Amino acid sequence: MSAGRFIAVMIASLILGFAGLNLFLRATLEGVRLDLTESQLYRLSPGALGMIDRLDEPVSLTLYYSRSEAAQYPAVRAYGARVRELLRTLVARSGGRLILQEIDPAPFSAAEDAAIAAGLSPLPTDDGGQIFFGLTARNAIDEARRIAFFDPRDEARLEYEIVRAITELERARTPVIAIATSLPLAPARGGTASNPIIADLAETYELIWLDEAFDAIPPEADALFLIHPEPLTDAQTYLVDQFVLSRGRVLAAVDPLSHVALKPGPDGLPPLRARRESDLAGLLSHWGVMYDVNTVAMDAEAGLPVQIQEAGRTRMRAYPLWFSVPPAGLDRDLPAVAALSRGINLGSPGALLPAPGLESRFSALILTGPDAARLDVDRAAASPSPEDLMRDYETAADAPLVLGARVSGRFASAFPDGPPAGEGVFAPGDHLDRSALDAEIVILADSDLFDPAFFQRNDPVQGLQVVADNLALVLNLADWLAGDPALVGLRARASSARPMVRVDQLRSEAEARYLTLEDQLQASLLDAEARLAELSRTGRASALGGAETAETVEADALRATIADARARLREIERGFRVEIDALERALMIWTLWIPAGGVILAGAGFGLYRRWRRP
Amino acid sequence: MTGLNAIYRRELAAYFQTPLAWVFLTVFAIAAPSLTWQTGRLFETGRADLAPLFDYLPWLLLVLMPALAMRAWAEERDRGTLETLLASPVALWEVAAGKFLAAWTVAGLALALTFPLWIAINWLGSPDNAATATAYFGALLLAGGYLAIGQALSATTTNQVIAFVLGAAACLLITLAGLPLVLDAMSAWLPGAAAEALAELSALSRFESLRRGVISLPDIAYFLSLIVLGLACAMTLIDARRGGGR
Repeated sequence: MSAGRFIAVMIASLILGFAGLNLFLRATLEGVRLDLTESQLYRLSPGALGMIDRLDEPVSLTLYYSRSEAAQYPAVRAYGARVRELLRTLVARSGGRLILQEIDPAPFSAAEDAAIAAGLSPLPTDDGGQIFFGLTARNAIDEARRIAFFDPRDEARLEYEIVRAITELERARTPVIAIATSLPLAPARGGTASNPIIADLAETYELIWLDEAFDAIPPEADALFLIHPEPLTDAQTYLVDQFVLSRGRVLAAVDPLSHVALKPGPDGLPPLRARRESDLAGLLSHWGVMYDVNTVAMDAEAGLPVQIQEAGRTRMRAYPLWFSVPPAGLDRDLPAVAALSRGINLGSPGALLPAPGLESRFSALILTGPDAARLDVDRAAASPSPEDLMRDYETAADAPLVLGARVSGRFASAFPDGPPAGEGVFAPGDHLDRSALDAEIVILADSDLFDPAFFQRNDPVQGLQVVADNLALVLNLADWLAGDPALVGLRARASSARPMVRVDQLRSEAEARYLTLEDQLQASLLDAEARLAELSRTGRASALGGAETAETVEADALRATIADARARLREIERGFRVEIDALERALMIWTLWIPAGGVILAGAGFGLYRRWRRP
Repeated sequence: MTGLNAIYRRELAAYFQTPLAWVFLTVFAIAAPSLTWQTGRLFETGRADLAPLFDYLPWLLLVLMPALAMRAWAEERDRGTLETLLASPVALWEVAAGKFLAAWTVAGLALALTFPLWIAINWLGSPDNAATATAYFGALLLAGGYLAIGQALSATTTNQVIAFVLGAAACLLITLAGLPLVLDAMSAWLPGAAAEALAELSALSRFESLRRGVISLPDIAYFLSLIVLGLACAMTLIDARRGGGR
């Protein structure tokens, strides 16, 4: 063999050996990995692992990601990498049962048409293009689920959303939720619900509405929702008790003062037999929750703005009885509430407390701020003004108050002697004394959170705006209670995004400072403009009266003031970024020119030293 | 190992006794933060992490590492010092490894020059420092892979410029292998499985996990075997010149 041929054969063998070794290792040791991120971002949660291990049939995932368009948007680009990594991790773990395909839908291509047909929502870009960044999951019988757009703000829910999409394809039947409520939430016969929460729930679940006189809870119900229910009879209380022991998934929304229940109808009157308060006939205390139907909670710090008439003028004032619970007030450990970023808006909710000495586990899901107070429900019902409420506002000794709670564990029946006599027909043999499984009960001490007025605002310019996460809260809780157990096990993920807190702080300080200045300038600008308009009118009226000169001088001064104010306002708009730009420049100098300068100096010094040492 | 140590010291000194290492380090110290701030728009991301740096680092490395490696064998051959070196009582693997480790040290110093960026993001927020350290480790492995390829191609020629061009082209190929751009073109004339296998061998896709803070055994093995491959190819080529290879 010639030397040339020998070299060629050797090098080809080395390359083939390299390729073979790495393909083999990739195929066999893919799962041997160490996630060194602080929040274990790339380690799949037990829920996701359980879901993958349970997959019977292959599921095809198609990630539509406009890679080149997204490259211009750093936040989307960074999140794109996160989504792709997670999907690859899921696929690697699935042993071939998850198949991932990535498509970069070029504009006006068949791939773009496919993305649109799949129901994905593109994000429009500044240059008229659009970024597709969504996922479709399809099973063997061509059922499909989609995530229309991966919003970087929802990173904490990323694993949850993907696993949910796959889980929904896997499940054999649509989960059922039985709902008992006194609120007008049920859709008209054959129609869709007018309440957006119910309409969204109906997309994922089969909803069975229990009427006021229900005498059974359908056995196929996976969860029971009691939303500001009518007072329960003994038999109904027994049914709920037995449901908790047998199925264990209940969401109860009770309220000492339900504004939505008393909302006037088209005739201007509240519905007949509307009840302002609800509780569960002693079941709450049996489950380990103390709830006083005569007290509401209020939070002056987080009051929602309401329009009030003050000295003949309409003003917006914060109303302590209607308030918002920010994300900081939500339980960060439960996926169903952990990722809510806008907070929850509530109307005069009740307060919950754990009952002492009970075996169940009580954990707060929704908490007020530290300055919350209690108020007698009759006073709250009399529509007091913000001043009235603040006059004797006294922070509760046990604030923050619990407005929503989760109670879990195994319960004993509230009816230890069996079914109540006299009402309903129950088979004593079916009676359960204790929970057959761990029960999960969510209690929300407010029913107004279901009212769209509390979480949507109809803006004349921008249309319907979601201002709070009430809808997401209920849907997440439904997923948690009635959805797949794999989803229940999914923990909330920390976001991989670490904010530049110093920049955010600088920005908010600058905004606060400049907004005050802007308000002052705007006020003086409006005054000057009004005065100028008045002078113009007077000037015209008095032009024949010879008073023109003094007014002209004043008008000129006002015009100069207006021009100056406008110039300063433009400066203020620019000023928002001045300090941040200065910080960026300073950091660039430190990170770019200082190291480079250091190397140049070291090189020059080394050269001089060598020259000096040279004989 | 004495031979390896001697070669390593000789090569490292050679880098710093000429302007090469100083120019290389200066270019790197300017280019890496510039890409991070200007092209990667670190500030606009609003995120206290070095993702923009590691987005562009592979592309910077694939140009600069062949520049660092181009002299390894080409210069020896051009000056006629290769024969003297090979006649010295040092094993060929020690020469190859010594040259590689010296260049890798310079590459490590270059990466260390981006350390102020790491300090800056710690000052701006609370980054995931474990993930960042893993990303740096990945960048060092990637640089090692490129250096080894560059050294192999440096052994094919006496001209350093040609060695650089060949090295950069080879690094580009192994970087692009996993991108849709190449896969789409390849899938036209390669079976799907072969195109997928090609993607598996892309340095960029192997670097992806490391830069996010995930160390996987196949990825580490990939970079180490890439280094071994580059050095083995270089040794094969040099050994053939010495008259062996049969």
